[in-house]
Amino acid sequence: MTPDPRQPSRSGPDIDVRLREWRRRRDVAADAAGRVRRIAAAVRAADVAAIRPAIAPPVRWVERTGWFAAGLAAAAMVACVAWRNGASDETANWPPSVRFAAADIAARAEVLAGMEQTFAGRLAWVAEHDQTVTVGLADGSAAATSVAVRIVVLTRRGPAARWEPAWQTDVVVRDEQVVDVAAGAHGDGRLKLWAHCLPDGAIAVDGELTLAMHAVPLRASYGGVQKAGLPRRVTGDGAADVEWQVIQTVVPLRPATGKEVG
Amino acid sequence: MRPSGPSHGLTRSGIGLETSDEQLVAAWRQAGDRGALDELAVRHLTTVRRMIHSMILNDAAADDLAQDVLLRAFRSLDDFQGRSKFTTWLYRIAMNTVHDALDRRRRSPIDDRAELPRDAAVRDAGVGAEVERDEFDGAVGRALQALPPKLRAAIVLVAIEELDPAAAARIEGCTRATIYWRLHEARKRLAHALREQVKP
Repeated sequence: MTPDPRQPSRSGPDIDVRLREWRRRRDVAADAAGRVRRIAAAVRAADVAAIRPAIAPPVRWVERTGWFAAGLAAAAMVACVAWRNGASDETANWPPSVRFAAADIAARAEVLAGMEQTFAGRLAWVAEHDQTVTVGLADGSAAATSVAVRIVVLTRRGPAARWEPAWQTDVVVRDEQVVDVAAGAHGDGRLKLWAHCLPDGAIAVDGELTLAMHAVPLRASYGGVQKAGLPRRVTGDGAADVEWQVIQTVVPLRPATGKEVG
Repeated sequence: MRPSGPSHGLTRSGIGLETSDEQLVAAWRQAGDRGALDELAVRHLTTVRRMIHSMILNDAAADDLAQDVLLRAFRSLDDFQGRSKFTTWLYRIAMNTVHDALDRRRRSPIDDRAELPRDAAVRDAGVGAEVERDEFDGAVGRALQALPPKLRAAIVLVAIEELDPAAAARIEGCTRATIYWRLHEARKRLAHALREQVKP
């Protein structure tokens, strides 16, 4: 079961109190106050010259920095346009499977609606990957709004190579529920995901993904606000000759009918 | 948030408590007033060191890192723009430094290990409640050490240091939702690890 993360866990407050008691005893046992005094003395004795403040700039320099800032802003705008163009080029290099087709979304919505009846409104999420479907239940009634999330991990060997899908999952998650599911072909990775529909139609998503793929262990933690329907590179890295990136697409699903296609 | 308080026994610089952290930073920037830095150290060193120790679980390493964090912060005061509270900025430096140190430790696990709980023979010399407390404290240390650093950071900032989750999110550079989620997960794992010690 997946409890609402915004509600304090039942064991939370007691654990918190015990941790603070531990902390207090630990400080006494280790003479933390004495240690702090010694550190403070060392900091006080540190080379003042090495931490001298920057000299306040004269007015003329401030004026010049104003012009410099304006120039920098203009350059940033140009760079931004270039980056946007570059970003769209990058999107073109991704395989079509990173996008949600309308039929995919309709199918997920139908699965959700069917399972919803089975679990009497307590369905928190459904995750599908590597021929496996996993469901999570909420403590109580889950929110009516849901988000379909497609996560595709792309890899390539060298900058000249094509990006190829290495792993993919589709998740439908109720608003503000936490998906916690095994990931990877052998189930040795982990995906945690939280999504929330914002009033302006955008979707806030936080994710944590670990996968053991090839020689490159993928360990990504990311978060941000994303527009519906547009694939977005949320994180990426590489080692040796293998690069990977995580592409995520999110689509809100309308409540009740389960037939919405975003 | 729990105040550092005057109980640390540090010598104050003569600057009054009514002077804000941000005013102290300004005093340093404008006039190079070294007393302002000393006052900032007096105010925040206890919390910074405690926070670091809860993460790194080693006294000597916590001392070194706390000193490093203070000096690093003082050397970067020109970068403090005042967009956040000084403490948020300082704690962010502290937690970044800790995450770097834990990352180095992960790559070289032989060096600088967390302190182990007291030896069984030493524990046996104690009696009753004291032994139980020792065992509990050892179990807490081991349970915290077993948490991934991000989960540990969430529980240290919110549960131990009693910071607001929004402030913890700013320090850790993530969303508030992520902090809630990490906190929930950390509490769950700690409750499981300490199930023998923390009876409902």
